[in-house]
Amino acid sequence: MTRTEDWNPLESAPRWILAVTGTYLCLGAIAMYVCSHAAPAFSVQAAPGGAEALSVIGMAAAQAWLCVLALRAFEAGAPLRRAWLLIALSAATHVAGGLFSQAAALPNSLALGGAERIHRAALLLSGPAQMALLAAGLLVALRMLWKLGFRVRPRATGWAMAGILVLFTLTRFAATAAGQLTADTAISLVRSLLLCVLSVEALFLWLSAAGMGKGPIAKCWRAFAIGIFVIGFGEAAMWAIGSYVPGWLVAALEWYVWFPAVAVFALAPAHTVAAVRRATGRTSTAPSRLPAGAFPRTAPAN
Amino acid sequence: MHPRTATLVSFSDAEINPARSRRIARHLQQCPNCQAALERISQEKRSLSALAGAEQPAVDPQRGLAAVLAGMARWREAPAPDLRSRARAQIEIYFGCGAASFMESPDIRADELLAKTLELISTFLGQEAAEAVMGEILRGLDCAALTAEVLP
Repeated sequence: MTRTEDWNPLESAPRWILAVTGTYLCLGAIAMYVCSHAAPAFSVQAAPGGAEALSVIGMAAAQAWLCVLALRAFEAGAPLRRAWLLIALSAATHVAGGLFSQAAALPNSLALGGAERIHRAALLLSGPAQMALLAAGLLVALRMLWKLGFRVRPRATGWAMAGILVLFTLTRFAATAAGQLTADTAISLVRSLLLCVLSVEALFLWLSAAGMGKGPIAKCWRAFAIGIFVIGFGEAAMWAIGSYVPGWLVAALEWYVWFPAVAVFALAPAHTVAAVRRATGRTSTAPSRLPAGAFPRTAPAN
Repeated sequence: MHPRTATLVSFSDAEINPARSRRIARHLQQCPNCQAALERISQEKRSLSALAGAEQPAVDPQRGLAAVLAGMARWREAPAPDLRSRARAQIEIYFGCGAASFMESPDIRADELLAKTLELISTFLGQEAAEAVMGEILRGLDCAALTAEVLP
């Protein structure tokens, strides 16, 4: 296989994302160790905040940008263009939600329209809005995978994994619904239901992509499944340990669930973009003397 | 100094000026290598002239077209192992071994496998990538020979 000699940074985007995530997690683990052992008094002061939130927002922005690059590879009307558009919008709402959340924490947020309203908008954008768009995008992709024959029936272990996530989400749903219903709890309830839908989609995506092998397209759709599982199991773990560990530690650990999840979501379009660059970056040597009509022209499956 | 081949060609065609022509003639009398080169050039010119004058065989367009179509049909039905292995390799690169095994049933024709490969690539990576992958699959395949072998 002949490749162009130009180094293309987008082809190595997946490796960069993995390196950044690995470094972030290592530094976070060291910081948490220092906070909890060397300077416990300091740790209370150093509760997670701006830097962690900005890291997640930055990674979500990278995901949105990579989704737009992936989207541009498809012609108008192609089914996966719709999927990438929805996933890009999902990433963009996550970024917007994160920025709103930071704006709500600003001292002059009251002047911007009220901290509570901004905070609620942030919850809505980075919760139900992001998840609904992601679920819709993944559904389009899943339907394409099934249509092309990559339909795999889940086994008992798969159903068990998705069942655990759904059970946890419904338990939290019941606990939230039992209390007083406010706008924030309503948002949380919708988010929980959407997480259930995403968990089932992730199970099917995982199985379809795992059957393909280890190519970049399989990795792309598997990454979305991994991201959803990280969020689902991470939140379940946070909920489970919430009563046994200090609140600041739970709050700190949450970022170490969200950052890898968003990084894995960014990894998905990065794999697709890298694959597109790999294919189109080659020197074109299609033979010119091939008989016309010797091969059927492909049309996007609808 | 030996004259270049292009100069010798011009000399044999009498296309250079008389003074230079005299210098080359003097050199040729003393240089056996240049004499041999000039002889080769003269021989090639005679061969080309003979070819130009020869009568070309008549071609029956109807018969030729029918033969091309029949040959293409045979080619499509043939297992075309090279084409199959190339299509499979591309599927393995972008999807993985599982997808390649899933697609390549033993009785699938080469052109069907190629069409499925391109459909998958265009669905997941776009039309431009599919065209590039098609170029990669067909790169170096002797398409001229494939068409020539079906001519009468």
